[in-house]
Amino acid sequence: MKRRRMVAPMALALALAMGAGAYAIEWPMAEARMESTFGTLREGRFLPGIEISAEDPAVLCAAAGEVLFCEDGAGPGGLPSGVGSFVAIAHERGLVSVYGGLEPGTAVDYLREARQGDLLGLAAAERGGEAGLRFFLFDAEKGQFVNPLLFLRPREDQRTPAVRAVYLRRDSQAIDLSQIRTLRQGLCEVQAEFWDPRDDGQGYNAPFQVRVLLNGSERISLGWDIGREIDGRYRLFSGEGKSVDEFFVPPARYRLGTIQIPRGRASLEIIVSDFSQRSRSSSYVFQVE
Amino acid sequence: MPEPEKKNHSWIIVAALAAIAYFFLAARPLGKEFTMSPRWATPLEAVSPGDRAAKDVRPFSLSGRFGYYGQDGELLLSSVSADSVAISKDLYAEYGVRGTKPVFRRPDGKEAFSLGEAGAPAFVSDRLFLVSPDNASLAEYSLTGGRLWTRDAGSLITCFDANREYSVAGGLDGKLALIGLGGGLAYSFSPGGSRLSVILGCALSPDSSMIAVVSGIDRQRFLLLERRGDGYRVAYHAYLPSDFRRRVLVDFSDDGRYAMYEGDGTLSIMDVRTHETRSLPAAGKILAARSGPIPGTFLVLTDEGAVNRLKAVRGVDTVVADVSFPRADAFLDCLGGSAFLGCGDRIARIDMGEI
Repeated sequence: MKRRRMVAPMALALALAMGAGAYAIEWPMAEARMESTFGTLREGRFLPGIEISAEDPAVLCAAAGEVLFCEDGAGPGGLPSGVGSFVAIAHERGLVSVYGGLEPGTAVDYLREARQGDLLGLAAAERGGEAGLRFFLFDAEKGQFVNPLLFLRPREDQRTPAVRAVYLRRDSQAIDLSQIRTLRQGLCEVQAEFWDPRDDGQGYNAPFQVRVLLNGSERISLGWDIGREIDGRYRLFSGEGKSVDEFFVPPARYRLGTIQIPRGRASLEIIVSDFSQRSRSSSYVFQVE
Repeated sequence: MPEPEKKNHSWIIVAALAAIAYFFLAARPLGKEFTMSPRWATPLEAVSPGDRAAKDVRPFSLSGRFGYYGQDGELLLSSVSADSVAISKDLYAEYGVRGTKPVFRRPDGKEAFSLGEAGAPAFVSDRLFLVSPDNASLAEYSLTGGRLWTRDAGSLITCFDANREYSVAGGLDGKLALIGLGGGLAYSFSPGGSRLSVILGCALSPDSSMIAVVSGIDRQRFLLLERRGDGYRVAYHAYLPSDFRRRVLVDFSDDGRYAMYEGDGTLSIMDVRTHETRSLPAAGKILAARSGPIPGTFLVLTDEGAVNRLKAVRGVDTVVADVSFPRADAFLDCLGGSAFLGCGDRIARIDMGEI
């Protein structure tokens, strides 16, 4: 595996676009472990935040702000909260951080202003295990969820993403690139199976970026940066985005996009990167007729 | 010796005649007197599910215990649950917060169906809804477990209401969405007008002609929207002195004539036709406010810290009954001419009337 130095163009562009100057926020739990990354598929939905866990259940305010909303399960009527008890903190420039999955009765419903590091509640234990928190960042001005890793202080990821297979799909046939030497020219959809392993090796998460290069030229670039609702459907990625149905083919394949394969000798490379800039690439060479 | 002056006593006669006339002319019939008559109080002992039948069975969820009771006070089911419970008169489900797919059972304990996805279910207006584990998506299911629609929200959902025709959801992004029976967006609205946008409470009138909203921080607002054609227009709005940072009570009376919303230590009741609004003192936290058994009355249940308090209100401002009792988890339900009050480890029936 070649470790590639990745300049995070999407992170920088997003930070500049938001005028945030890439200000850092603190992890909301001490010694937190990443359980699920932004955009990981959970129960048929892209996770619009991250899931972390820690031995210490204290949930701390990631950055200074004021309490926007506190849900502690004791309110009148309406629906229960699917994320359990939670606190939302409003920060500068329309950014809102949300701390979900708190132990009922521990959310600080008496606070108005919150400083970075202030206690907001206690994370509920995961069925007798460690305390787990669902952490979201929401851009209220743009109406979109943002990958918290773009703003959290960077931390090391112990494992490198994995690529299991890459396919080119044309008509109704998916061609495994590891099994072919020749291909007809034309328009093909690139599909791939990849993931970012959890540090504990117990599950699979979404990576941070996927790039597809054809003959050294980047043709597809997807970054797990934002998600937003359009016409009642949550769509991941900037631009038009992709819904779950448009992006995921059960049980484990992603539809990355379409590319035009020209005639001649072709080299297709897929690079999957996590937020720590650890990456894995797989290359395939074949003849196009 | 001069004769003593004769005193003029005619004024006494005039006063007496005026008094007699007043009694007859100024008399008004006495208003009806509001009555509350306790009928029974049932302790919530454990009762296993069985094939008991009762008329007008009512569900309850109180102090970690849930089940069903009949109007005569008989418990048909009373179970302890370590999880949360969604319960209607025909179905119930225990569910956890993380990753559980709710299993629905009938009052006799037999499994009816299970949902194919995780989330937090709730029965609202006899409809079954499911909030996703990230609180950013809503689904409706039929009462036989078939999914009717799913709709993703633009942010985390903060409040919700539904009637038989529509549902309305408010979000952390300060937007309100009116959703039709098929899950399509019928109308959306952002109240704005505050430094921070968030929807704190929302309610639909029974005929869907009005939507009531409490929104924003600095300053907080109450808005009443009225339907006009395919959309709604703001019929009334007011800035509120409150500074809530949580879900607040907003509701309509059963007949849609009054809108209620929680204030800072008050419950405001508005006549939606005249917009006349009065604020009742409601110290502590409002646990429930609903139309009373008698038309034109409301029942308000509050947690005042040391005690719970139940008030009956006629119109927008006349308190006709005020009862306090030791503080505990509590709920309030109404059926026919009776109110059912759950408190701590028992449920009581209180018949209400006028004489």
